[in-house]
Amino acid sequence: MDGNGLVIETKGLTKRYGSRAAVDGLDLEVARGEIFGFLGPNGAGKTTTIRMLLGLLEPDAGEVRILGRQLRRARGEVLPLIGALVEMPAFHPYLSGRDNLRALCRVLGLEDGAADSVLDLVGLGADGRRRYSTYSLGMKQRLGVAAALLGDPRLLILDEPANGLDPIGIIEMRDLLRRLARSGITVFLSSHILGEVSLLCDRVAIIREGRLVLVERVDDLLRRETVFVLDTPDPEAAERVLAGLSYVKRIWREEDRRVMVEAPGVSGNGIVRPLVQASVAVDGLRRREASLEEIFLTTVQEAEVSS
Amino acid sequence: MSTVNSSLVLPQAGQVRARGWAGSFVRLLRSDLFKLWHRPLTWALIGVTLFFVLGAYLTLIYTITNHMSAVLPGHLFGDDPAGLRNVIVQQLTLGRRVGQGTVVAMAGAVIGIEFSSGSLRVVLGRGVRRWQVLLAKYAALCVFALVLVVMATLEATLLAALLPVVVHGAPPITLLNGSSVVSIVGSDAGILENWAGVIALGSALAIIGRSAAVGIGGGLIYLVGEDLAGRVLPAMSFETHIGLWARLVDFLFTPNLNAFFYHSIPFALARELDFLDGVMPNPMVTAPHALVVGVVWIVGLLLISTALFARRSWGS
Repeated sequence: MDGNGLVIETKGLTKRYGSRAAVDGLDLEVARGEIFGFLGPNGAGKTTTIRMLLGLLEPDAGEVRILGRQLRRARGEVLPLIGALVEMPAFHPYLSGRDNLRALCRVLGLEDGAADSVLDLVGLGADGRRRYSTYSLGMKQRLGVAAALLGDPRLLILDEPANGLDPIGIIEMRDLLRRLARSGITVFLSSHILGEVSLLCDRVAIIREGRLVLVERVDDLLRRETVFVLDTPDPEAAERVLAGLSYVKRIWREEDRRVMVEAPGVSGNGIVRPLVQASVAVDGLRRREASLEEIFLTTVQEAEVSS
Repeated sequence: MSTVNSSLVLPQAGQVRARGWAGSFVRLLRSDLFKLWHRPLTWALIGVTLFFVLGAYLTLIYTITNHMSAVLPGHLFGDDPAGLRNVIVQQLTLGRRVGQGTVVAMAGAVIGIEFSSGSLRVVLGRGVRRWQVLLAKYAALCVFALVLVVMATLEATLLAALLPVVVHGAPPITLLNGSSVVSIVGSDAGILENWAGVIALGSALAIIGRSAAVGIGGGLIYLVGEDLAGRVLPAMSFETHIGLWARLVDFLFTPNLNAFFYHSIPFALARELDFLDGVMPNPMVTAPHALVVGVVWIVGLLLISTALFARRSWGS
C-alpha cells in the first residue's frame, strides 16, 4: 500500500475558517517506521492538520495521502489502519475503561480479548474495570492510547499523548512508542513537552500560523544549533557588543552574570574577540548544544519576524 | 504505570472480521446495544415505564372496585375475551404515554451526549461513515423501544392474570384467545410506530441543538405542548368559528404522531382515548392514512437529522 515508503504525504493542504487560514499550503512527508514530532505554538494549526489527516475535517485545498492512498478516495480502507488520539480522550463516562474498549472492539470487529491486551500494554490492566468517570487525567490519556492501538494500526497519530502523565508514566509511554516504532508502526506525535520530543522523535516539523517553517532530523537540528554560555561580570555591555554582530542569532540572560548566545557555525573566537576588543571582561566561555526548546523558540520568533 | 506489559502484542489483523457495508452496520449496532445494556439510564427508564404500567393497573383496580358493572359480560372489562384484552391494552395506553417520555429522553441522551462529549471522534476517525453511525443508533434505539414494549406487554399480561385474585368477577387469563392476541399485538405495533416517531423527534432536536438537553427537553416540551395545544386549539376554533383555524387544527392534530396508534387499539378504548391519553380521535382518518402520515413524519425527521449530522464536523 505504501509503495514509496511514505505513510503520510500532504501536498498544499489548506483549511480556512472565514478569512483566516488555519492550515496554509502544508507539505509534509512522514516515512514508514518513523517517530515524527509535529510542533507549533497554540493555534498554529496542529490539531486542524491532524483532524484533516483523520478525515474528521475536509480540507479546502490540497490532498492527503495515507499509506500511499488518497484519503478522499480510500478513506474506508485507509482510516481503519490508523489509531488516533485527538485532543482530549473522549469516552463514555458511565462505562468502565475496559467496556469502552469492548464497545470499540465491536465497531472494529475485534474480539473482547483485544481490549484486555491493549489495556495491559498501556498499564491499565488493573484499573480496566473501574468506571471511566473515576479515571485521573493520566489514566484517561493511557486509555486513549490503548484505544488507538486497537485493530493493529499501521499509523498512530497522537495529539499530546503525555498530557497528564506523571514522570514515570512519561518514561513508560516513551518506551512503548519506541517499541511500536521498532515493530514498524509509524508514530505521528504532537506534543508541547519538547524535551520529550527530542528524546523520542526521529524528525520534527514546526508549523506556525498554519505554515511549515522547519522539518529536520532531531540529531542534525541539535548539532547544528549551537549555543555559547558566556560568563561575564558586565553582562549588559556584553549584550550590547554581541547584538551588533551579524552572525549572532539570539541573546538571552540565564543568570545575573551569564549570557546565552546562539551563533550557528561560529567558533568561540568569534564571540570572545569582539568582547575583548570592546574591553568587556570575560570570565569564561563554553559551547553547548541547544535544546529543542531553544530551537523551537528561535524558529518561531524568526518566522514571526519574517512574516 | 508499574504494571505496564513489556511484551508488545497488538491485536492482530487476523482477528478483524470481514468488512463491508452490512458488516459495518451490524458491528456499529452491536456496539450501540452493548453501550445501552451497560448504561444505568437504560434500566432506570425501563423501570419508570414499568412502574407506570403498574400505576395504570392500580388505577384500573380502583375504577373497577368503584364501578363493579365494568366487569359484567359485554362491558368494558367484562368477563369475556374482549374484556381481558381491554384490561391488558388499557394498562399499555398509560405505559405508552410515559414511554414516549422515556424514549425521547433516551434518544436525546444517546445522540446528544455522544455529540457533545466528542466520543464519536474515536469511531469516525476509524473511517466509519457518519450516516452509518446515526443509522446504527436509530436501530439500537428502536431495539430499545421494542424491548420496552415487550416488557410492558408481559407485565400488563401478568398483572391481568392476577386481576381475578384482587377483583372478583374480573376476566381470567384463560380467556386469552387468538383475536385478543392479535389485538394486543396491533396495539403494540401502534405503540412502536409512535415511539419510532418520538425517537426521530428526540434525535433530530439533539442534532439540531448539538446537545442532549435540547433533545430531551425539546422532545418532552413538544409532547406536553402537543397535549395542551390539542385541548386549547379546538376550543379556540369552536369559540372563533374560523374555518381556516379549524382546518389548521385538523392538519396539526388529527393526522399526527398519535394517529396510527389511535387506529391500532380496540374501538371501545379509542373512543375514550382523548380522556385517557391525549390522543385526538378522528374517525375521518383511516388507518392506512394515519400510518402513511406517521411514516412521513418519521422519515422527514430522520432525513433532516441525518443530513445535518453527515454535514457537520464533529467535536470541532
